[in-house]
Amino acid sequence: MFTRSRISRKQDPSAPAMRNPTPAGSLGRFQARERKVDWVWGRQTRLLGLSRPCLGILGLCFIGSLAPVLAPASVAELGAGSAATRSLPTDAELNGRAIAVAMNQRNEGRFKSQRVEMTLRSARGKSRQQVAMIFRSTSDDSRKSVLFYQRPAEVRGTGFLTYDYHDPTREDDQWLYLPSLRRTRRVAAADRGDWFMGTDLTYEEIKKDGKFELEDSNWHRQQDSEVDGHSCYLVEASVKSPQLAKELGHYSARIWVDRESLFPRRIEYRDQQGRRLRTVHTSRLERIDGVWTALVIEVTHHAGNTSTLFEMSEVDYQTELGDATFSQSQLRRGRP
Amino acid sequence: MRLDRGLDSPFVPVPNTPLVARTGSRRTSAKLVAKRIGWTLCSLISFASLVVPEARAAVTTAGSLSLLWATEISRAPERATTQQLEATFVAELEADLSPSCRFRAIARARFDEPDRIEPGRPDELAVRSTLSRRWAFGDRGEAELLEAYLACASGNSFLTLGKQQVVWGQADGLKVLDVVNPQSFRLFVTDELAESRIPLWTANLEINLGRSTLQLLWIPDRTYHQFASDGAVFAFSSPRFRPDYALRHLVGANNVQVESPVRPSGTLATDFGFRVSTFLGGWDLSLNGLRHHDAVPIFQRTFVAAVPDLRESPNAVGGLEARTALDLGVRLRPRYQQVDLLGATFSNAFGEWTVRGELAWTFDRLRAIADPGDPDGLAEADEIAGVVGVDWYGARSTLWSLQLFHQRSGSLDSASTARARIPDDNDVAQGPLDAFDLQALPFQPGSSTTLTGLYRRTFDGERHVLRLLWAHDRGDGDGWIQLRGRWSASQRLDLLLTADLFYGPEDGLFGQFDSRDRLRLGVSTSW
Repeated sequence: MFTRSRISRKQDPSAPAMRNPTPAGSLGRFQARERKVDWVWGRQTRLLGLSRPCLGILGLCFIGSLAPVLAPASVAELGAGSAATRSLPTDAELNGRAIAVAMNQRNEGRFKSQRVEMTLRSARGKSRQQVAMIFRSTSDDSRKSVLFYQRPAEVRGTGFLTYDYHDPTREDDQWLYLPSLRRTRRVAAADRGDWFMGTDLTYEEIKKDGKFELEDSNWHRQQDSEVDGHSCYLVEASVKSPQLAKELGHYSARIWVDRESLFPRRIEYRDQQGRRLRTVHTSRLERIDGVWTALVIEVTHHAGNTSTLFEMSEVDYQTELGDATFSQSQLRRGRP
Repeated sequence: MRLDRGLDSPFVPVPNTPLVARTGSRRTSAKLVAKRIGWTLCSLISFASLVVPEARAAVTTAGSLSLLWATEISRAPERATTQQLEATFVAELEADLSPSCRFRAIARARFDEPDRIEPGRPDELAVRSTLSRRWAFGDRGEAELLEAYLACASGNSFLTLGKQQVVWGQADGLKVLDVVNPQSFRLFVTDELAESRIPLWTANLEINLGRSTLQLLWIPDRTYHQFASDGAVFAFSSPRFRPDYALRHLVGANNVQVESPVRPSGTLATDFGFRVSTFLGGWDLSLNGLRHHDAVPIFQRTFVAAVPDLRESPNAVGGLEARTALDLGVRLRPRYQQVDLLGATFSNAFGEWTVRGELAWTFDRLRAIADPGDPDGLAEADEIAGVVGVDWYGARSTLWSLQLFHQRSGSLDSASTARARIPDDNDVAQGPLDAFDLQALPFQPGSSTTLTGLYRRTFDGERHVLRLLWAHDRGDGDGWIQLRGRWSASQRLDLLLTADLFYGPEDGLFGQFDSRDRLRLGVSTSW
């Protein structure tokens, strides 16, 4: 019972961790930048016997001059894992996995803090509001996030801490602090398909923040289309196994990925028969401190006839967040 | 996993003996000052919670008002009486004094009309320090400053100073390492643990050491467990927990004298503790140490040959008008013993499962033994207690949890730890010395094992919660089942339904309340 596959739950191991915020642009430009990073810090350069800084400067100069030419090659490499010498695909030749990889490597900033106001609407039409602060930090080995509820009184002080590791062999760690018990509880990361605090988003979606576990699904590109007048890639993610589908709560997902921001503007989760289960619609997307940020997300749960509206504010990518912010001690104490 | 607003297991095994305290009250100027400070704080918090806008940046307020009605469940309808009709008001205030300093306070006022949970004015002199006492409005009302602390951060250190709760351990409800704060047993264990825990005035320093955290505690507040007084619905009656009950039956009510306990005093009598917690290879680990006073007193027993000795005592309980046939008396002197505790905790998650546990070693703890030749009826022994729990999150919106608790004392004579029973008339008829056979004297057993189970399910986006709890004492064969449901009628209105069922022999921890099965209905609003 303790031998679940861990690899399937993780991000693509080939994807390097994003350390520094970089302005997001088109898919081609983005992947060109990734190509540079691989070249400068890759195994080949270390073999030359030069120090890393020297190699880095030389490499950047060289690659920079060739960037416009190499950009399409980067896309091909990310998507199909082929050698750089392969023929260069055009935008039309991008496959689904390449788009998913690019989406996962979208710049999200090293640190992020934001206020989230959630309006939860029940099947009977009753609505209630919750307010929380979310803090996130991305490092070489993991992405840590912590959420503190501020309102209403009945959930105030509730905290949720998660360590999402880049290492595919390592299972995520999660803790929940309930002020009514004054105790932090270790919770199973396998609960990722369950609803997060009564909202219509799952723990997995809250944790991933617009990104996906690549190995959960097979990725297929569909005919491009538009969402709210924005040009989007359309990708279909088919969950690889019934066990994973049960864990995630859906069998497939259609994802409209904004061409400019690489942010999913719309996601439709479907069941085994292809019926819509939920729709996640990012209706307001803005660039803050050079990072594309969702400010309004509407989630409609078609099967349960419920919905949740997420409205983000006070978004801050500049304030540095130390490790102490993502500790169990801080979880008990409340927002920093 | 989901939010349950405290719908976790509150069951607690009571390891020792509750206090039977009777003292007179005498007000001093210090008490009056403390009372005024407390009143002022409570009033300010309550006022602020009602009038300060909720969303003001520097000050956050919240409040709740709840009404609760509880009745005994009885097979004979005419015996079904109201146990509790209680209104509770809770006010919270949190103020950001600076970017690194925050003040938080919680005050509570309660009014119970039947006055059966804590009959009369609660006499707290023996168990609570001056600054931790409640304030009574007549027999039926009370107010209390639950928490009031200043929390400040500086570099990697975090200091919390004031009245607060400190919770250690990984177990749900079972008190192995969760012994820093004492508890109120006015509702036995049926109340939520966070509500029954008594916050203490504490200096709590946490230092972040990278992957680890060091916590240092200094607790000058000498407040201990508070048990329901005689005549209350949940007054303890088992001889194991009430040595005076057993002895009164044995030698006559008038020949048992229970002296007032004296709370420890002096700097050395304060409690100190540390905890080092770390996260290593996916495991949450901690090492805990605490020098503290047991929150329940031990009773030093002295046989008194002549009744006049008792009559002369100013602290005697009950009248001594009648001389019994035994010409034998017993004096019980309660005192809080200082003990050292060393413990450790662990937890980890494996797929859909989490495993957690804790272990505590208490050195040289005194326990009541049933040896009539022993001068004070106490013996010293190390005690080890541990709990292992597993949680399963495999089903959506559902949690299953099991815990196994075991406690054992070392090097106690097995003959003196036989199972207790309530003495009967035959014991008395045998004569003064023979009456004190091993089976009749009160004591604590050398070991105990408790099994607990929890099922919790949420519905409709966690708006509604259903919880089933079960605790079973393997040694006594008694236990407790609680079924609890919370239905959220709206954003601010909750309805609560709880049923508590006790079973087992009357000298067991849970079995002593076999006739106290209850049904509770409540409504609560918060803002």
